[in-house]
Amino acid sequence: MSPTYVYLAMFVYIIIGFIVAYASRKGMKKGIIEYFLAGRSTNGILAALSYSATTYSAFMMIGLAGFTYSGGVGALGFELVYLSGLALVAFFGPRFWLVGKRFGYVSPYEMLADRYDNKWIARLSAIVACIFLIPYLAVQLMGVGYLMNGLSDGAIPFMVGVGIATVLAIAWALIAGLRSVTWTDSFQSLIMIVVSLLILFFIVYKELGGFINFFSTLESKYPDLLSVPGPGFFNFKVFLGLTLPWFFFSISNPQVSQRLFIPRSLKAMKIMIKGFLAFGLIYTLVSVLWGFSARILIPNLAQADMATPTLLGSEYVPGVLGLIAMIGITAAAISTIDSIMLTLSSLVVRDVYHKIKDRPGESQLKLGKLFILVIALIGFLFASQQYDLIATLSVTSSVGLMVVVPTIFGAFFWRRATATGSILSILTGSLVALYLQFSGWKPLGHWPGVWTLLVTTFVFMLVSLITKPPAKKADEFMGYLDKELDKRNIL
Amino acid sequence: MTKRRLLWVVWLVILILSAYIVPYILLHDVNKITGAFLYWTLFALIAIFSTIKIINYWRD
Repeated sequence: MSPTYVYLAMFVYIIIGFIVAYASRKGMKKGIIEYFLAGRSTNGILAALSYSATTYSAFMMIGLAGFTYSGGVGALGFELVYLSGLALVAFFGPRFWLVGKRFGYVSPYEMLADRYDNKWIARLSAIVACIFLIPYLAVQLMGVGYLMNGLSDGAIPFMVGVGIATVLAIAWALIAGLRSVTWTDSFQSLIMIVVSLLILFFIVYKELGGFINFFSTLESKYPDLLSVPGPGFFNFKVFLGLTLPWFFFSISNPQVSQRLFIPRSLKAMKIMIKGFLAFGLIYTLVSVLWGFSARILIPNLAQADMATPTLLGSEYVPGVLGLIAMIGITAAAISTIDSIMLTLSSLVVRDVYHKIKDRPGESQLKLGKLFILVIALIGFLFASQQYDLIATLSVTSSVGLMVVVPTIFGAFFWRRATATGSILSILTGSLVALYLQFSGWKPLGHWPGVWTLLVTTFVFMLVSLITKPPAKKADEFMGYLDKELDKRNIL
Repeated sequence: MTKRRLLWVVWLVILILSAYIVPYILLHDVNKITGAFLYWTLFALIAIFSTIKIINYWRD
């Protein structure tokens, strides 16, 4: 396809995105809570759409569709086990929200540091988040680069797409902080869902003879794709290794757990969760069915990650639809990138350099904005290295971030939990995750996620049992919660 | 409250374990759309409705 059309489609998307971002500034107040948490006053629908766009990235239509293309139905199970992990938010969501309002937390790690009465927990967790989320962010940038490159038949260089995505993410995060992020996210989430449904229905009805024929073709031509382990990729250990880190995503990834601070009320949080669950189920089914349709229409691809770009550029998809799909996937990537940048910047400001916290709000904000640029630059450089296996890198990020999960559970449900237990568990867990990931060693055939969770939990519990808990702080934190949870009928 | 929470947690653990056990043990040789594909979709719907049921207890 002519690069002019690709640029034109991007231009329209960018202009609308900027109009939305600037519109979000209306009524914006000053201050750090306003900038990073949109004043804790986001309504349910905006929170739901933004949560969806932040969670679901370019991985869905490229990586998950690729997994389905090569590994079959196991990809559906993997993503739906993740979605079922939202049940964690039914327990942790209102707890985060209540203590966030009561004690003024901006970042989830600031909350942990206060609960355990130890600033090193926040510092360490924030550094771990930067180490693991910047590759995840870079993978999204790469997704846009590959897509524009593929759709223009190589005429648009990879780095041009990466550059455009970086600039957009910076701009939409800087214009009004979380306000512009949630507004542009919502706009982008609508593009994502509408576009993905549109191209799936077009392909299924135009090329595959409707859903019944589509499923019969799948059953007759590729029966092994419909069971697990199927063609072999999704053997049980792989499935467990992939699903375990993603099950905890909603509390382990700070760019989404921070969103538990932003709804204006519990009612808004309910709408956020329900909206996201509906969005997630539809978007997952669409991405997986898209992967299956690619397998029928363009079999024998050497690289499964190329299934979506190849199908979009093939004779089966009209040029206009291919362009619209590119915008849908770009929207998925950018809405994830700007949220990560904003969250990481808040972690640096609130958790890494505590001295910044003592400065006036304006000074904290200036530094926060500067960090957004620094994080974007690092992500951009990382993306320029062009690592393969988009899906594997995304999963690695979730493995690393899982090291804070026992500390989060302990903060809300175990008075005996200690700061030393938390710090040592985060340290050892991170080292285990990094070592296993880089060495490629899979003890007893299990993936790094399994071992990381086991080691982190074991160290956290053992060390907590032999060290002194912050009893006064635990009483203040959990005492307040017990009272409020009871009053508000929260399980 | 604690007992009700415990019952929900037990139910969710069973449900989530089923997402591993049913497709890998009971449906591993069912090469049809009505096999693992249908099971995981139903599993997700039940997980979603369970989550909604829990959050519907909340009051502002």
